[in-house]
Amino acid sequence: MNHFHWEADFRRCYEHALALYRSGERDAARYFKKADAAFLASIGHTAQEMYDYVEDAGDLSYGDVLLIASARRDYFRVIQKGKPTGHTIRTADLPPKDAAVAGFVWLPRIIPKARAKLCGEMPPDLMYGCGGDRAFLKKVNIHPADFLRFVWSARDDDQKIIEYVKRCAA
Amino acid sequence: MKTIFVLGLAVLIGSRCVTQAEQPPAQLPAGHPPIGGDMRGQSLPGDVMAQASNPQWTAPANWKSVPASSMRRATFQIRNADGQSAEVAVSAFPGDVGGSLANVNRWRGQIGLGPVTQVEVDAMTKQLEVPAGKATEVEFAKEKVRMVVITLPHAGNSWFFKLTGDTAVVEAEKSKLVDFVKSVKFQP
Repeated sequence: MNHFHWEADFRRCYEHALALYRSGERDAARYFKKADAAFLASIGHTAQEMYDYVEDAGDLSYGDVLLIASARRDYFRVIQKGKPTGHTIRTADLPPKDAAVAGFVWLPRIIPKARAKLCGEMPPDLMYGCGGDRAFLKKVNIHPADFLRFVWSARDDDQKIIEYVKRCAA
Repeated sequence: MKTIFVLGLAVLIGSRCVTQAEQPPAQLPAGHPPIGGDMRGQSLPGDVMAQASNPQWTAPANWKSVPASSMRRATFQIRNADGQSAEVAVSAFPGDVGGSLANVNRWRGQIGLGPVTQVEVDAMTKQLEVPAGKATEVEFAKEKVRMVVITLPHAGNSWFFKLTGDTAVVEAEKSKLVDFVKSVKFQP
């Protein structure tokens, strides 16, 4: 694996996926050949996640996607030593969309989503950086990748994350 | 002439790279990550979910601890002599996670039950006094699946201790779940 060129490989995969999406292909499983799928797996990324990002290309730029993928790649390589956990969370187990803490609706939901994204445990029907996440993060003035990295640094301390959100939103 | 120039440039570039690589700055700014080397030894913030700071607890001997997902603090699997099974999932979320009505209806949905009203939730909720605080317990079943959930609020978070599985196992393990929650000691 050529890690020096990982961004170029990622960009090529992104542009390929974007072209396929725009051509009408809606099956994420058919987006990448073996070599590219292996590359994505090596950075802790999935074809479904790439599909989700090109589907929302109007709202998330390539740069946004790269920053998010970079946070996940770092976590995958540094903490997980390049090995998937083998777990997938269930969307039904997440706190409801209208759950609030410290006056912030959506915050209880996005914290476990961010942890699942960092760990590569997102189910296919769930997207980190979806419309709900973007609306929340925009409101509190935090980039989706910055939120991921803060959740990483906060370990399991939810209160630290809440204080961070309060500071950013102030 | 062109060859000599290219070779000369290569020597210059090469010697510069070697010089930099062999002579790193004597002192890096405080907190600066090490220069050079690969990422394997790098210390980045948070070994996060792998080292979640769980409270102390004592689990029954027949509960087998298995690796938990990022959304759980712990998972235990239980199996009886007849091959029936259940699972205990421990999770913690900030706030009240939408309140008792939203939580109960989410859990009911997980075993295929329809939603209930707040009045019905209140009627099915049992209060529990445990050393770590005031907890609540709810229980419901659908066909051969039973679920018991104890909620323990602590320090702004809601801790959920959820026992789900075959009715016979859940009935046999329910009192152990209560004892398990009673054993919870949060760090000061």
